[in-house]
Amino acid sequence: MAAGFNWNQYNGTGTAETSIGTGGNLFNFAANDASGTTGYDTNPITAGKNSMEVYLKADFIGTFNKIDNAQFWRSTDFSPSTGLTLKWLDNGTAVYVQPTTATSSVAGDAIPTSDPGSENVYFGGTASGYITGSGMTSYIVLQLQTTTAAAAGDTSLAEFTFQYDES
Amino acid sequence: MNVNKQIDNFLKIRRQSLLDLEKAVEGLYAIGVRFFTPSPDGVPDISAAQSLLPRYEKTLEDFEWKAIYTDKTELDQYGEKQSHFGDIDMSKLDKIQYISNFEIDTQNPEKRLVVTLNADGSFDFWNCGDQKLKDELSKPVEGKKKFILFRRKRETFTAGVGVNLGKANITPTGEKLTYARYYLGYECGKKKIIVCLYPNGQMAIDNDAKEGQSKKVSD
Repeated sequence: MAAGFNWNQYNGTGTAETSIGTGGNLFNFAANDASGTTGYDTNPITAGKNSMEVYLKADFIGTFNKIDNAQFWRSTDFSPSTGLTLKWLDNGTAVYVQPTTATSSVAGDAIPTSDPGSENVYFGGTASGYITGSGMTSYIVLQLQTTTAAAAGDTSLAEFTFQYDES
Repeated sequence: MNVNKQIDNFLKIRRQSLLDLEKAVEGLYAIGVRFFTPSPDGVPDISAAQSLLPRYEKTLEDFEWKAIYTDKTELDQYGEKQSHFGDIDMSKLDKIQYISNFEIDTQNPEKRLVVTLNADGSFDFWNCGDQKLKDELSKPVEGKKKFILFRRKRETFTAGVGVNLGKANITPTGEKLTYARYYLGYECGKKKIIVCLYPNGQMAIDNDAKEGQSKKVSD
């Protein structure tokens, strides 16, 4: 196969790495520091508070010459989305900090909601960086911030897109 | 509470949702978006409206490239060994082809789409490309060329959220949507030509698809 990638999520003080898969429902925003989808129901976000920050990396394997020009955006919002604001960090970061539910000092930018048109996730923390063998993107950092207007109850899943160039 | 009214209302929502779902799926298929649902044995179950060839299930590529050298030997992307763009010997390259892993309805014996970039800078299109594209790209271009070949791929995942006692509406499947475009072209001095091959068989010039130089990183 050509290049493919897997999503990793990171937790705790020691950059614990968990492979969470390639597609489908990979994780949920919750109040606790854990990977994947389980446990969010017993650790819901209280309306008016923030989710735990989410640290992700796309982990590439396979046969390729070069991977670059990584782009990330949210294709569809939660529904209902009243009182829910998703923040992230433009271009990602090479530095891991233990996730927190305090208002993120890392994820302070508005998440793109359409194709950004150019690279917005770096490799190795470097603009226009690329990999020529197995390797990962910089950390993609997300935090869901809520207001008391956020409704309790079911929401639809938000859908995210990751795009890259491979030669 | 008028329960019959409630039932009618939900029936209307349900009916409209099914119509919207069908319309959205048809639209995604027409663009060339692929749906993957992993099966228990790990083999992806690929849903597609297009006439994908069995080879697609092996390589998961809408188009595969082939380098043809001046000595008539060839290098296939998925030959005995898998190759990438960096494996192509540019010093003896005669042409690069992208060949589709789907067929179109045509009287031609070759029903796949084939786009050829010749070493002289001219393009040939088989079963694809409109006349304007052919007219614009059929002529040779003099000068040393730097060839461009890459795939732009997008994939999706979902994330839910639980607020207060609420819970995310988790879908039971690991469905993944992918969409890939294939680019072929060259730079020659200040001139740049990049053709984009879409997975629904459409072609277009997209000279802005690749800009600037990138830097290798260790991670």
